[in-house]
Amino acid sequence: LRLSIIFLLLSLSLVIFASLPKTGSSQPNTPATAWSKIVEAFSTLQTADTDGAPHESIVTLSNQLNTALAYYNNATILAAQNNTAAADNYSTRSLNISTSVASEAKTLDDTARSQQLARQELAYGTAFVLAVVSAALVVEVDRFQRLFRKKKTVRIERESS
Amino acid sequence: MQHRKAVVFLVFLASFTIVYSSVAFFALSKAPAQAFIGFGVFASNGSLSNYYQNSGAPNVTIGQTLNWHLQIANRIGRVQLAEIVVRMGNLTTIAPTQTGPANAPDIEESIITVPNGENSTVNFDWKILSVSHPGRLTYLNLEINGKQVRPVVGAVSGQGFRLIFELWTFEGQSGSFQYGYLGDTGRVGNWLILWFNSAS
Repeated sequence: LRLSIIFLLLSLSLVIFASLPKTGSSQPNTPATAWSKIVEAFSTLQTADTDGAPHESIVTLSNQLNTALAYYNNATILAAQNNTAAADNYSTRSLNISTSVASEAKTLDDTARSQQLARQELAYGTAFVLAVVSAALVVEVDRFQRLFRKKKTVRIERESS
Repeated sequence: MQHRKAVVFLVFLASFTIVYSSVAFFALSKAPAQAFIGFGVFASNGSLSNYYQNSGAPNVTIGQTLNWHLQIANRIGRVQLAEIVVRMGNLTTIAPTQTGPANAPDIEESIITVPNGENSTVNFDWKILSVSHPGRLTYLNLEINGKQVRPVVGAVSGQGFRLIFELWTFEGQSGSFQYGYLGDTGRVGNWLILWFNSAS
């Protein structure tokens, strides 16, 4: 009975271990995966640029993406020469840089969007406040004229007395 | 009287809102500019001439290394992923047009990211390693940026070869490189051709 319980526990732990999600997959990074990440990083970078991210940051990330492209280029050359291990190594380097660029570009884009929204809110808010003040001034112009005239009369009376 | 005043106020409020919002929109908008990408091939001395390092005919001798620089100037308004496709042509090759590439085989491709308002340079170092004459035509064995290339295009007596440089840009919608670049009125072809003879 004891043996069968141990066997049952062992089998159960084996099933649980087998069903666990595999983290840190050992699948190699091929030039194709490196390229798809470069495309993703570039698209995010272009969106950030369109949304008004700072030019210096875009230039810095572009230079990093060019390094990723150079590694990708090496990977494709090595893959064509059937040097799979070296090709995968360069693909991984390219992938790491592209992932970093994509992440930084996303942050830049989020910041640029919120700044753009704040600028728009400020500009159109100011425009509306100015419109209210201007409309009030135009409608109440006779009241202001009367007020100024009255003040002027009082001042003249005070000076003459 | 109060009702009339309220109506007048609302009319003026709407009018002023339109005027001031237009000013705000103008202030927030980017200044209009013509979108284009400049593309140039520079000789080793940085000039747009004397590509073959001799004053006469564009003759390239076997083993003569030429260090050219391909420059892309991005004035599109946003960062671009550009590809330079190099093709080998001869006298009968149909040259690229505003709408389509040349019909010659491509022998080299370089991809580079170019930020808006910046110039990016790609090196193009090449030499003729050897020539062969299997028939009436002369075929070249080239080395381009350290890679050996054997174009399938030949030329009679080695005369009238041409290197065709085409600019392609990455388009997000199709997820691929497209010929030329997207200008204000559609796609614009951008290419350069340099003729040479193989002088053995």
